[in-house]
Amino acid sequence: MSTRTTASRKVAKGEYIETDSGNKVSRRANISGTANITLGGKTVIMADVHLRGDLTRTSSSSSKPGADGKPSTSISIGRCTVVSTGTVVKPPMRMSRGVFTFYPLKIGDNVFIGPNCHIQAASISSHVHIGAHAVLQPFVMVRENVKILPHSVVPAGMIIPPNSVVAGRPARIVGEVGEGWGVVVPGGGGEGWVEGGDLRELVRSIR
Amino acid sequence: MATQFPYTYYSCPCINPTDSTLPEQDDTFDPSSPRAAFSLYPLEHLLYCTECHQVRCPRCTAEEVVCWYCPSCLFEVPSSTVRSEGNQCTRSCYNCPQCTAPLAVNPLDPPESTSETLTGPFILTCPYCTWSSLDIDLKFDKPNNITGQLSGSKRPEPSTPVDTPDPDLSRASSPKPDPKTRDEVFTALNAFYKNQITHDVDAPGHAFAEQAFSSPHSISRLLNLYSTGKKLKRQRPKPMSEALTPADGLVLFDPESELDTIKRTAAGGWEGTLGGDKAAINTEARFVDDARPVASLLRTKRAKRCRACRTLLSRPEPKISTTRYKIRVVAGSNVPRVGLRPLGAKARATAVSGLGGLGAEVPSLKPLLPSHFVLTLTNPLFDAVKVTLATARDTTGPVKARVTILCPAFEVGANTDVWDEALARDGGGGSQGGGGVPEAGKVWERGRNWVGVVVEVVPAGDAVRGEVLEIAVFVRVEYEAGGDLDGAGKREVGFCNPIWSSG
Repeated sequence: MSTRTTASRKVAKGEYIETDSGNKVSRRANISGTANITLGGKTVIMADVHLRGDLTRTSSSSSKPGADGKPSTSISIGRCTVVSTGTVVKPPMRMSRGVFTFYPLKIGDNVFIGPNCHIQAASISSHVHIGAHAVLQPFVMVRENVKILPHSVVPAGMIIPPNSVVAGRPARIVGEVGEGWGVVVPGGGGEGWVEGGDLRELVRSIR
Repeated sequence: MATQFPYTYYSCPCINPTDSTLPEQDDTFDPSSPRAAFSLYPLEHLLYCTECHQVRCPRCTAEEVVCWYCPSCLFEVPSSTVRSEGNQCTRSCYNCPQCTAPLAVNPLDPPESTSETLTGPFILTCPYCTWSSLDIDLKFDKPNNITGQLSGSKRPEPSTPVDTPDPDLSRASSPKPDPKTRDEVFTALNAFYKNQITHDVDAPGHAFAEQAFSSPHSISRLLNLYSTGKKLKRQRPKPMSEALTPADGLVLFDPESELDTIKRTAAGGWEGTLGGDKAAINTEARFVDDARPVASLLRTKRAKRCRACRTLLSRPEPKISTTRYKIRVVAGSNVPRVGLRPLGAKARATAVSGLGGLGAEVPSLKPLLPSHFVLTLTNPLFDAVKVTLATARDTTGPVKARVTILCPAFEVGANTDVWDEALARDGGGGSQGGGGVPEAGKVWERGRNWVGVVVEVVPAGDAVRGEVLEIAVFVRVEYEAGGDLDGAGKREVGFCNPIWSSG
């Protein structure tokens, strides 16, 4: 895990700024509060993605201003995760004992988040595929090997068990992913990745 | 399943029940037959039996439950509890009766400051719709063990009390007992009749004893029937008594409640009734006011066996927290993977990087104009395989098109050394070919363990707009298994259904 450093290596005219650990961040992405965002490496943040790292626990809780001075991590994203265009990633918030509090958001490895999603989940585990235009309401917990179909609205506080397929408004479990979820044959003809599998090839192809 | 274009379905041999006994029988698979839909699966749903050398779909595997767990709290539920309590979570996991979203337990009066502790009463609220347990007058003293508190609380009286105009119908004499739930009535009836059987079965020759097949009495009676000794005097069966009191489980028709129902329907209209899927999850409720929170149903982890030879095909680890498998033989690592993309377009991977996201590059076919696609076959086996492709000249389905595979027979290299390709990639140009004009009889491009051939598609002139084109491809794979005789020749039908909208 390495904190994203702004413009560690300038690429001449590319769409993406690539960091030392291999993260690719689009020049057109909106990222606020960079100090509170962690990218695991080989992670892609596409254009028009909005990462709200400025919404941290310390900034909003007025009762204890600047608890230790060090800003806490509000969004942490794992390795080989792809956040597609137009997606908003925002830490979940709730009214707790009279105070609005933001909680950290954790996204695992090899997660694909489709275009124009709205993510306010508490945690998304590894090997999760989220379709386009999906909405994850606050404090959703997504476990491993889950497929969220496009245009789903996952209601707040829902816990999605491992190996399930989720769809609908509100989302409910509509099926299970097969045993072969994420199993990829190495060296495929130009398609080195499948949904839920290792997204390294996909990350490599994005430039 | 949301379809992602293009998709590929693989046919399972279970479409032809004779296939397992006659492997050399050449049955043609008709992908347009209505029955075919039951044996076409995406590759990730298919398993592979290493004993039968066949693909196994969910239809031809037998499942064994490894463990039960609640999808909401992710606690394992022992199977004894499942038997006694039913297939539902016994903690505090409940779903909204209106929209099935998981309910949250909240205090009725949220504390104003951080110093206050959470005090009751508590209610269940739906974070998605506006339903809360206040709608059915349910409050809880504690935020935990909702199930225990729910079972303790009585079903609330109907919120709109009906004064019956007809004095004949109202029963002023006896106070109305609490209406019993369907489960309670069943339990009472069950206990009553079980009791009858155990009492009456002692009397030989009782009519009802004939139904208690497994009782020792029935067996002795049967033995007596065939014994040559003196005939037993057949006694007249004692008459069975029926349930007579509400304690026995008797439910009398209550005209009052029927009138009540009619009145409530008239007052509330269709909106007041539970319909469709809501009634399905709340079987006892008829009105919205009666809908109770639904305990979340348990899920299982299951092991799968081949139905033909009982070989374990997949067995997950019994712990809830892990998603690993002890045994897992997926089809993807035993049969070649088939993919399709338009000629000239880059691989599917790059389609994502566009601003439009996935599906941005779904091309459309023009009637009577030939379009070219690259059909790729990836070999997961550690031996080189000989592949023969075949397809019907004209496709069936909503879009008529003439399909030609330019190179139907070729060899695909073994899935051996990843380093070869990795080194070749660094050197530039890992795959050979991929340029020029598509030519009949020539492989378009080739990699370490994959081959791409060109498919020409000419849609008919009267192609329907907005429909999808499915191409059925028969894939025959032959390989020499080293030292293994029974795997020397192998037939496998893959049906590739790549889809493009036409028009």
